[in-house]
Amino acid sequence: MQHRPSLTFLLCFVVLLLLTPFPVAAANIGGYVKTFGYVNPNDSLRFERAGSRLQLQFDGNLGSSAAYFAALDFNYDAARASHSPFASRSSGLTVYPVEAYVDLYTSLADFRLGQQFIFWGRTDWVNPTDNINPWDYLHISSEIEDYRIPVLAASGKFYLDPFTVQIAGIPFFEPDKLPVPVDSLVTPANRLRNAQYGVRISSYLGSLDYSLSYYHGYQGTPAIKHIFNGPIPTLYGEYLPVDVWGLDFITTRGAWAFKGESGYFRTQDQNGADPFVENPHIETVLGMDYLPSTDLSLTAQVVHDYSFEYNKDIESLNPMGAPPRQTFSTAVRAQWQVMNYVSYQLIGVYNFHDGDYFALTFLNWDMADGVAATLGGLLFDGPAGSPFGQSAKADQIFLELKVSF
Amino acid sequence: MKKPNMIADQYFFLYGTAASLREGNTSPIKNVMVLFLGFAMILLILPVTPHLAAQDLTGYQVMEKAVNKSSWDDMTAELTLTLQSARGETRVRKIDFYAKDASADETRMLMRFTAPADVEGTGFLLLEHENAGDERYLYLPALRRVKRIAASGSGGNFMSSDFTYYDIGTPKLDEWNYQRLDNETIDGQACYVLECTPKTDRIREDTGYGKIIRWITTDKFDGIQAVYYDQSMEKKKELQVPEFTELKGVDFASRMIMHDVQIDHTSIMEFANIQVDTGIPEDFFSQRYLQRPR
Repeated sequence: MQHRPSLTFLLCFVVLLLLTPFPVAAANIGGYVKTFGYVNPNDSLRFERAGSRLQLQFDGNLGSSAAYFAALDFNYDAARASHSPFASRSSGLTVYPVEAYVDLYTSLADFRLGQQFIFWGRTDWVNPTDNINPWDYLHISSEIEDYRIPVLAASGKFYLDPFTVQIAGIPFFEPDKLPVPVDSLVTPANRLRNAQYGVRISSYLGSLDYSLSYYHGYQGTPAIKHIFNGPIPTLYGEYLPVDVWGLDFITTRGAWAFKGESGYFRTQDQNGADPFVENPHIETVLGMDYLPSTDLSLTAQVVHDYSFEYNKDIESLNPMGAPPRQTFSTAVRAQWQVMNYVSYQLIGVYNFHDGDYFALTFLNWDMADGVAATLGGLLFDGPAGSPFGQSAKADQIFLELKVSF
Repeated sequence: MKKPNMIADQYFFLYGTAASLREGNTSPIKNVMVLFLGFAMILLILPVTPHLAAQDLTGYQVMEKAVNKSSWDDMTAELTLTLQSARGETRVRKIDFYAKDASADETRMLMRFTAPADVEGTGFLLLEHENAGDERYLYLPALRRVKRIAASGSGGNFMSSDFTYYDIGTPKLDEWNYQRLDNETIDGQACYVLECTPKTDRIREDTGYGKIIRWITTDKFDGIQAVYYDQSMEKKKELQVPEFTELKGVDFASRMIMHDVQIDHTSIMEFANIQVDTGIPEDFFSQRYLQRPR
């Protein structure tokens, strides 16, 4: 699936910059070169990914009240060139604009126009209110740019002390990237009325930071439906609208941080009558960070998902299996500075209902200023059909060498 | 409390006068006149010789003068932090540094990394409160969001260096006891020597220090040297301040070398292009500006 705003958008961005009436200051040019190898140990040590990436970053000021930023990836992945069903940056040589936006600053508000990341929420890894940028589940790595997909958007933050109001409009829908076992996919048409949008109000009460949010968009994973064109049903996936009301908070006390995030998902199956569409549900994350020392950081979170209008008889009509009314899972993170310039990180998610889990772990060595090597692993396991069990054969060991300039 | 040399000299003067009175080798009236003149001379000399006045300072007063000598409201600088390991590995971090005294009990600091390239754009906002817990916010460009972070106490290392947040922050005077030791001369500069010990176990645990010995010059109250001891009273770190920059008549430590003797690691903190009282607005020290690229 192609990213909609690709090179064409980047060209428009460059032309826009050239035509801008602002005095364009000389661009700062930076970026990195990264060489990577990802091996799947379940598949005769075959390389899942092997290649290099050059990312060029340009940023500068446009007068005193505007600025721009663009990051452009030149990616060559020899291993995926032949067998990936997805085009874009994961196959062969690709050129991919990661971000390209213009910032406008006023006394009251800041605006950002262009391809960008908009992350909401305060918990780690599992964020019920963070629904704007899709996930790329095929590229989970140590870097967020690999597994989150930027969107073309207009966003603004209004600073009305003690409140900050953030608004975002996303004209084009971009789904999560993951294997979907269907014959076809139905995506929303690119019409203005199908645009996604959201608003988030943040403030504080003493040492408590909190936010309330609303997002209207589409579910990142499709509802699996079927039609009968004969005796055998044909499966297809449809991306359905969703509204998400959310809240999040964080407060710190010494070496502890307490945080939480919750989102109510108002899906299209509001009365629970359609077994093929998710019921309205509320997902809540509660957790804490603890820093026992400068060298160690620990995060533990509990995740609860509860479905409303749940009728087991109706849900059982779904040939994919009836989802549970509620699930509990946990997400943990540990960061440890092993020694000077060497750090270790573990991120794990365990689902108590299915007993499936996911773990991402990596060792990072800052070899010199701007030079880092990362050795890591991705592990999925669980019963067949469970969220992580589906990827049980997708374990990976990876090595990356990155030089920033 | 041991007395510094100049104060001892004054006591010697008085002692000598009284001793001559006791010995009775002059008339009582003359003795009274000598005593009176002696007191009168002290009273006359003290106001016009700050050195002598300073001899009466307690440890607390010396520290107070050292801490409160600056009068500027805000400061900007380019900070270079050089880290050197025992194996000869060197890392250099460059940081744009902004600080402001927002009020009597709140100090604000905003730091933004400009080098090396892999951490460029990383921002750190520290709101220090005199009577409440500090607030710390971190902006990581890779994550594109500001995060309120917990703190592993003020003894936590500042940007992976040998300096702790306590070392770089404004010491809270009332949390420590200050014992005057014998004055010493360091590189030709007369110094008060203070033994600073935490008043409570909480402060000891929070800072990680069981004791700090500080050398503070008698003329300008510049802290030019310090030795830090950990909670088990083992020597932990040595601080040297070889360079000061005068800002509005007040010395500012613009080059500091901290050596951790336990792990043989050194951090050098150097300030350049220092400007004070540029009128940084208070809202600059906010999440809004923390994530703004430049």
